[in-house]
Amino acid sequence: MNCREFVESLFEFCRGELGPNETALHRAHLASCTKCQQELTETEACFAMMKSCCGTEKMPEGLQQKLHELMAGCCGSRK
Amino acid sequence: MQTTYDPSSLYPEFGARIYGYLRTHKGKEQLIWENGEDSEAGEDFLANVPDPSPSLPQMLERQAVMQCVRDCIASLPAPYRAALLLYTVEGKTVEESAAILGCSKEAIKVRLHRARYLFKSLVIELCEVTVERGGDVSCVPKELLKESTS
Repeated sequence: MNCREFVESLFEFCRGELGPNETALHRAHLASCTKCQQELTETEACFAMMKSCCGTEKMPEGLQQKLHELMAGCCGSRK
Repeated sequence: MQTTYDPSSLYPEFGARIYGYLRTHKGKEQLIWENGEDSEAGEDFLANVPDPSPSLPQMLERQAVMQCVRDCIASLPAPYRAALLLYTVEGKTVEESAAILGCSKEAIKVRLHRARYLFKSLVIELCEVTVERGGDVSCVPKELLKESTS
């Protein structure tokens, strides 16, 4: 695995969404690459900061659904 | 007539042990809660209990950090912000985020990468960020630092 491949699936790796083989490949690359270690640390730190500052309030299910529809309308794929 | 506060009556399982400890270490007179002469002893006893909540300056600093981070997120372009919030705050997977926004997984990943880089540069511009050992990040808005030094 090279750095480009690692970064491409960085978000899935952070969340543990990858299969065991892919995870092992990522870990092996990470052990020998300081650049990717830094990338991972920065990504996790950014996400932790956002979660701690914005993730304290829970919105009702119905409102969340409406918000997702609005998001899809304004931020979805351009057709 | 004196009334004695006896915790063992409220928590029978632990009460006897707690009461025994308090009697030994704090003195029986401090457990007497009543109106009149001995009320000061009760207040002193309570005053010695540390307040677990954060202090006012800590709360204000936390509020300023939260506001600063939220401002940084609000400054991101809408498609990046949407992908980032779904993934980080709502805890959706890349696949779920793609389904909600009606785009491909690859598009979500690209947005997340760009959003992360933009967010990082904005935070560095507005805050003093230090990464401590163990990966803990401390972030203080630069405006807050200016106020405290002036």
